[in-house]
Amino acid sequence: MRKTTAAAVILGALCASPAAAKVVFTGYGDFQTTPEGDFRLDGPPSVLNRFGVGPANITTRSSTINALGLFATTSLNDQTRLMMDVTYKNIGATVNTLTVQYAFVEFSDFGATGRFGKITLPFGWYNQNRFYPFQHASITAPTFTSVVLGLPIADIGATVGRPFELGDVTLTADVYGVNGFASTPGSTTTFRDTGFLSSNLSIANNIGSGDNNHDVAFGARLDASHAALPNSSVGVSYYHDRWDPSGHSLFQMGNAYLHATAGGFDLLAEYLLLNAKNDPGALSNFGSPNWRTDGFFTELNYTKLEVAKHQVTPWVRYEDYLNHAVEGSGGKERLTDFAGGVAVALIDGVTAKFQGSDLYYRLPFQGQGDLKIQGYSFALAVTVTF
Amino acid sequence: MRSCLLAALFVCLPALQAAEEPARRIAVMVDGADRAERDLYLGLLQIYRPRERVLSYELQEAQRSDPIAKGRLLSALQTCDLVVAVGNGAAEFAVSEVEDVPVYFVDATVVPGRSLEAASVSGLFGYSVEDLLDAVKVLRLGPVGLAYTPGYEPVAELVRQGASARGLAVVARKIGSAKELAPAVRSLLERARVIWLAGDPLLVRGAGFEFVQENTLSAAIPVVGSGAWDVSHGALLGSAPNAAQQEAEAVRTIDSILQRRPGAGPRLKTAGRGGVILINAALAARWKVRAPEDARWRRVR
Repeated sequence: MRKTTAAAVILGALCASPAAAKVVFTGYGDFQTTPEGDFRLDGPPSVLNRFGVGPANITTRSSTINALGLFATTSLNDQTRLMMDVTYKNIGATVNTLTVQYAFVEFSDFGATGRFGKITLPFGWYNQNRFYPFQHASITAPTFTSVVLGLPIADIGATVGRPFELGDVTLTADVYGVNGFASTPGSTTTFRDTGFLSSNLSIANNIGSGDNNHDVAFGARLDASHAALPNSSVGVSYYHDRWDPSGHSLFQMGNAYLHATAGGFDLLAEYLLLNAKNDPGALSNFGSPNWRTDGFFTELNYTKLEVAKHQVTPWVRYEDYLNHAVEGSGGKERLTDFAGGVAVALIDGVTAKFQGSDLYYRLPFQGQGDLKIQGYSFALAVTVTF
Repeated sequence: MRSCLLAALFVCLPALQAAEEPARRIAVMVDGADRAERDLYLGLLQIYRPRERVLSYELQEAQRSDPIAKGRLLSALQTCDLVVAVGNGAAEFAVSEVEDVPVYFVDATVVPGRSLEAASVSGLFGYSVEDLLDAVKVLRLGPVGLAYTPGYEPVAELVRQGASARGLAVVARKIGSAKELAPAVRSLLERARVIWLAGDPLLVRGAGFEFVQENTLSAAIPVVGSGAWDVSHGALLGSAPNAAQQEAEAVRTIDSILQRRPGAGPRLKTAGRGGVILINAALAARWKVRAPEDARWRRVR
């Protein structure tokens, strides 16, 4: 009888279920070439010797398939969707990386939207809205946030967001809980290993597939917009994490942003604060295990220029970040970058881009001096959406 | 006992499902920038919201250019029983991007001909062949040189039949690709006194339209376009259908699609007689074409 009942239940469920949900695939490709890059590397011999180099002019020239991404979307019902982005990056002689940029189930009800899975964090404005090459006129994202912090900041967990209408003002609140940043890959004691010029200079790889401790990283974003100012908003974000295996060492991020559009101009400015505690990885640079970053980028696009029936988007961007010991002593890591360029919509779905950048980077080594990289580069790219 | 229970379940399930059939899901969409079609869009929403499960979309530029936003929209449209696209922007998006779901467009004047060949696409064009043929007859512009693309055969047939009923001769050329445009238009210019363009973007937008414009203007041969855009960009004649008639016809067809009544009418229709004929005032003055002074004619400057 139990078998019959089970068969009846399965049969009933199959008959009652909606037709199989269809998966929609869309995607993009981003192809880049840097015909000219010229940088000057300087520093005290004791530091440069550790990397096996001396003061030098470094000329770069390269072409790369920066990214090929495939988005899969399916609506399970009116309220529930499954969304995924699989991206191949840095394709050369061999495939370097295959990244699931995001993969989550999304559920909407009572005006709120919840996501569970690998989610792009609602932190700042750029991270969720302008990360992909087809979302920005520039070829590269702001240098500090993309190279050091890592873009997009995506992690496994859950988020809930809801807009609240307050007259003409819309206040959108997002909260989330995720695994969080962990210690440097291959280490349990350091968070940002700036002592060696390696991938550990970046904390992008500190987000793994699991949590480093029992502590859940959490955060929130508040965004305010006004009906009279479409496509414009201001917002603040906060992120709280314990990064070490014991769950005692704090890592915090703060962000404030302004996104404004008017008269064809599109302005985005974001301030970023990072604060890490008990990180011996930065000791040799800042003279303290407690460090903080203050910095910003601002980018201005003009979107209403048309040349020979093609939309042309000129843009400029400036960023300036300072990293130092919380106590204020020791040296200061500094990154400034001035960039500008133009994006031309060739045909529907195909955009050509040109970018010039001027970079200055300085990393202090306690008692030895500063390592400096300074120079410029030009880049060309074609971004295709499908 | 077991087999009886299962058999009873098999017999009863279809009946139970039929009795509890959920409301049909309709997506009604319009281009967010298409202000002229907004009233029709809102009218259809008002009619169908109490009766069916309606998803409404005002199409934004990001939903065309951003693959993430486009994927999200398309995945929602794929769950519908019918997609109703109002106006040119929504129609072009729906017929080009939506697969496996019936698409019905309303009040569109420019639709890619290739997408009209799909059996899942049906529609009501935003111009009246009857009104335009009346205008050609009144202005004594025959014979008619008809240029159309694959997919527009039903419209071409309507033009032929209507012209025949009015004693107008029609010379037709089917244009399959851009390279066939120039010889076809030159051939029509030699044999016709007016060039009629069916609404494929190949003919009525971009380089194709500019080519037709240059050649017809230099030969002093008028062009019959579709809507207000065509007339304001160099066609002599266009059509603005009666809005109430369009809505009523759209509702009749949508109902028949939802009730799955095949053969309830042709898959592609043009607006009925009773709308306004648009005439380019500058070209009319230049060519000394005198349009009747009545409410059925509107001069476009």
